[in-house]
Amino acid sequence: MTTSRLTSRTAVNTVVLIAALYTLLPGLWLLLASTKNSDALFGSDILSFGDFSLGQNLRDLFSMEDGVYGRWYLNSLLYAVVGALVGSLISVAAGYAFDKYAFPHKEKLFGLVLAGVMVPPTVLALPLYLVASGIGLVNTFWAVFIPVLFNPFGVYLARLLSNGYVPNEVLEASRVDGAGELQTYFRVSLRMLGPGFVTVFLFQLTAIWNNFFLPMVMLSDEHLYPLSLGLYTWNSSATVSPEYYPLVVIGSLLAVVPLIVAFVTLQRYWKSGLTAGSVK
Amino acid sequence: MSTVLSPEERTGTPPSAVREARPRRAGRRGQLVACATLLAPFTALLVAVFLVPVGYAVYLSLFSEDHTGLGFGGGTTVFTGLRSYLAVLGDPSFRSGFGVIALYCLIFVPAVVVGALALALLLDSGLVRLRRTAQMMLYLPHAVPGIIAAVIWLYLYTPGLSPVIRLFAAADVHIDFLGLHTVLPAIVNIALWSGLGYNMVIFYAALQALPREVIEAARIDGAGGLRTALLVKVPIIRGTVVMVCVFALIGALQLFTEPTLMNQATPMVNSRYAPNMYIYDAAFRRNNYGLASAASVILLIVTCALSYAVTRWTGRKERSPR
Amino acid sequence: MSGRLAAALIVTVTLLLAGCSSSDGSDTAGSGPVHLTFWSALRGTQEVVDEYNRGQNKIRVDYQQVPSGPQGGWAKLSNAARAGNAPDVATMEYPQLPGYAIDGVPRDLTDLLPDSVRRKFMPQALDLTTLDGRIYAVPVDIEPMMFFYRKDVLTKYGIQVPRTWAEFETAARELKKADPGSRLASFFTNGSQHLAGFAWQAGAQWFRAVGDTWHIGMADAPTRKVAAYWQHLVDQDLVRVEPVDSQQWRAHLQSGETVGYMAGAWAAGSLMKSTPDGKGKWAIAPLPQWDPAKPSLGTQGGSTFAVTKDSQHPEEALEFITWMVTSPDALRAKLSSGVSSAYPAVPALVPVARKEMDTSYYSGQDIFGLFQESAALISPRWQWGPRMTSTITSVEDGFAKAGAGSGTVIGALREGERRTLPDLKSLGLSVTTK
Repeated sequence: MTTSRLTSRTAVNTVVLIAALYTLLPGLWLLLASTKNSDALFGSDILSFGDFSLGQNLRDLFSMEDGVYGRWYLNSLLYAVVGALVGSLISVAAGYAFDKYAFPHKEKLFGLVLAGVMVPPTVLALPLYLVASGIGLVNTFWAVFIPVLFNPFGVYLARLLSNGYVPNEVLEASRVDGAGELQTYFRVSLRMLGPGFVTVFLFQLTAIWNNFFLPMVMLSDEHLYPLSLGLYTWNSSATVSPEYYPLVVIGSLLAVVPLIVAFVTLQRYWKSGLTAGSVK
Repeated sequence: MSTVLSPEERTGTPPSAVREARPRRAGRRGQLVACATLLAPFTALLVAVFLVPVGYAVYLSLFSEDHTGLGFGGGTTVFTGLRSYLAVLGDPSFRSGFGVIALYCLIFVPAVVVGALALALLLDSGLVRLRRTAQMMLYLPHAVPGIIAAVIWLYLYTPGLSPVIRLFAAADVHIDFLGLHTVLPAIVNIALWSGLGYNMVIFYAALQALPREVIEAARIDGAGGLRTALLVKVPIIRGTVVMVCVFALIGALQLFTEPTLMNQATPMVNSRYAPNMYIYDAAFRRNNYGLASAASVILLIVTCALSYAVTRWTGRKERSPR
Repeated sequence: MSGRLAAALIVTVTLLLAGCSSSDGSDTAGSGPVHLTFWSALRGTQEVVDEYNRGQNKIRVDYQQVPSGPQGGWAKLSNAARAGNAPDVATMEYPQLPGYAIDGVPRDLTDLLPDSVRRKFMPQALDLTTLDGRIYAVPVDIEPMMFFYRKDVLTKYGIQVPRTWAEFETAARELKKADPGSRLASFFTNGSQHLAGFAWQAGAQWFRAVGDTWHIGMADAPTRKVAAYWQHLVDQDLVRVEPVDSQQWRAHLQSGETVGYMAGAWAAGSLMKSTPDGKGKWAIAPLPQWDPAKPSLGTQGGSTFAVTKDSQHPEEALEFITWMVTSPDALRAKLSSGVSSAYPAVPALVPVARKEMDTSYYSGQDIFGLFQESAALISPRWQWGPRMTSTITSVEDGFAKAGAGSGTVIGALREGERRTLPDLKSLGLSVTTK
């Protein structure tokens, strides 16, 4: 019994170790590769630290093309952080409303929300472009910002979380105390929804930070690009001008940092939110 | 009193019926106003960002530009009916794009679902050391934006840049990751790397919520770890498995980022490799919005039909008696 | 709350206004010079525009550099035209011109372009911008295909410069025998326009506008002959197979592994920039012929300038364009920004180009004289198709696969034709295949 338990223990740990290595090694490569300049990237062994050019790469990164990389970073932060904040406020409010109130055609409207979840954003991007083009909003900050606020999955999730985190008694008690509905929402319910809100926020943050197709379709001015699109453009230039390769590498490294920071710091919240959400 | 009032109202509320009638009517209206306020921003977005564009896409697919004869000098917008749809369905590059995506789904969806499920079961088995660390590491790729994951892996596939290729070359093994038959698995690999951890966490959360008595019962019955996992745990979280499958399928049908990047690197991925690329190409390179809109609508219909079918099929199986 | 709301509104409006500033059209008439907007990806355009603005006060040109066609330039122009804010003057390459004309982007210039100006152009050039009897653009340059080769390498191995395609195959074979690592030229997997030029030379007509109908045949007899020839070269490993303008292609040219390159005359200048170490080693020869008694030639590359339908000042725009393509000052300004061997569509400008070019790279060879002789051979029997952007993509996908051993050159062309038809049908064009 003990030997078979030992072998199964070894087997399990080996598999998990292999999986962990699989997920980690590309990131490790990225880290090491960002210390190399253009020649070293193509020439030398990945593990050699002969030409340590991290500082130089960083300097080049922020000075290339008048510091457009910094601009891209700022844009991504604006689209993603501010967008996720506003978007999750909107989604949580809607999810809460679906959970706590009854109104005519409620489930039909929720059906539309679910349909929105099923419809992939790429299918919407082209028609959105045409609509924006008609209004004259193409190639502006809003052309990307407004569409990313729409997060039907967040509404679906928020409805579940509101059901789990905000008991109806609290609402009733608040009503009896004479508080208005909106007052109750902002002062009481939202606070109780805390971890749930963070979950929705993180989902949307990831989705927006990742978003590639929509900005690609909407934007042609380089200064409005988010990081994803900017690095893609530099990568296309790299085939013609190889000095872009190390910049893409280190640019990618820096681009990964914010989300990792967000996830590590907000771990507790999203884990509990996820649990509440997936238990049916 | 106790039979008339609901449990909520019993807690510390003055039992005056008159007092309840007036605030309730005002409260009801106040509720509706509040509800509308909370729903308003989202509904506005729903209309502006979802309903209007979908409607416009359908419109464009039915009303497009018509150029008669040689066509010089511009066209007129008329009702062209199904012409754009027929053109799309008759377009060999669109059909081959669907062929590619079908193959991609067949490889990717089972791989990611089975892989994530397996990892979640392993982590749930209690046999893993440093479980939390392992979980964190496995989840990290989700924090890497899709295009960046694609760039990293592309560089790992590129001879000259990749230490992997250099290692193999030293052992005299030459693999071309960007060749005609290897490029699709290469793309699957990128998506798998990105998606395993995220789906694993979902499965793990579901597994953690399982009632422990059932597991104990199985163990008492003499089932080993593997049998418990496969025959007890998985069936209970069936709902989650279906949900993950559906979302993986929907995501897989939208394949765009990875092949768009590979398109620049290898001629084996052309600019209409996947349906989304076809749509982008039709709209922005061929300047043919009727074609692009019709293709979008077709992709939309296929996506909805497939997710509906998968949900129904697994739902029906669940309802059939064992 | 209201203070914050007001602030938010102000910020919103400001951002909206800032973001909405797309390139403005022209000034309305009245006092002050006429403003024109001009989009181009061609190098040296800023210098040309500056020179024009300096030289007169009536017209002010605002130049905006746009990405090259395949990098997004085509889409940018199409989208702008669709939104109604295309620039006054836009650059269009010959193959894309019919497509743009069908979309209604360029203005019909037939009545605005006087005979005196028309006579200045090479007839073949103006033919390519005349569609269904109407002139839609003004040619800038016309690029006869030439053969660039490493003179030192051929001399070293005693290989004759080939004058016919039969001789070319022989020479390629001799080179490979003498130096197994070298090849005489490349088959470009993204070279649909190069192959079009070869087919053009052989007398093919992929697209013909007959009456009111487009006749499409990309696998006619001359094309089959050319495709079979190149297929043979690829199968026998007598040419490199790679994309032009790629890292590997340039590396091969620099190292001497590829000793020949076939492209339009403009490539002479481009070669000087990309392989500076090749100075004194390269020479240019006319493209090999099928039949020296009946020489013919196609082009590869070349652009035109068009006045867009959106333009509110078509006469001024055409005036500016005419200056750009006929004035020696314009050409000199463009060449001041860097080497360019683009062969002007206006023969009168050839002496200017010849004088400005330092041909020491080509050991003093009179390359413009050579270009002039070759340009005279350009066959007038060629028409670009109604949707070249689509055809090019499909053909090049096929070439890439053929290069990797999956499929043939002629197969790629046939497939390219098949894949263009849905586009044309969906536009309602009258199309027939032979």
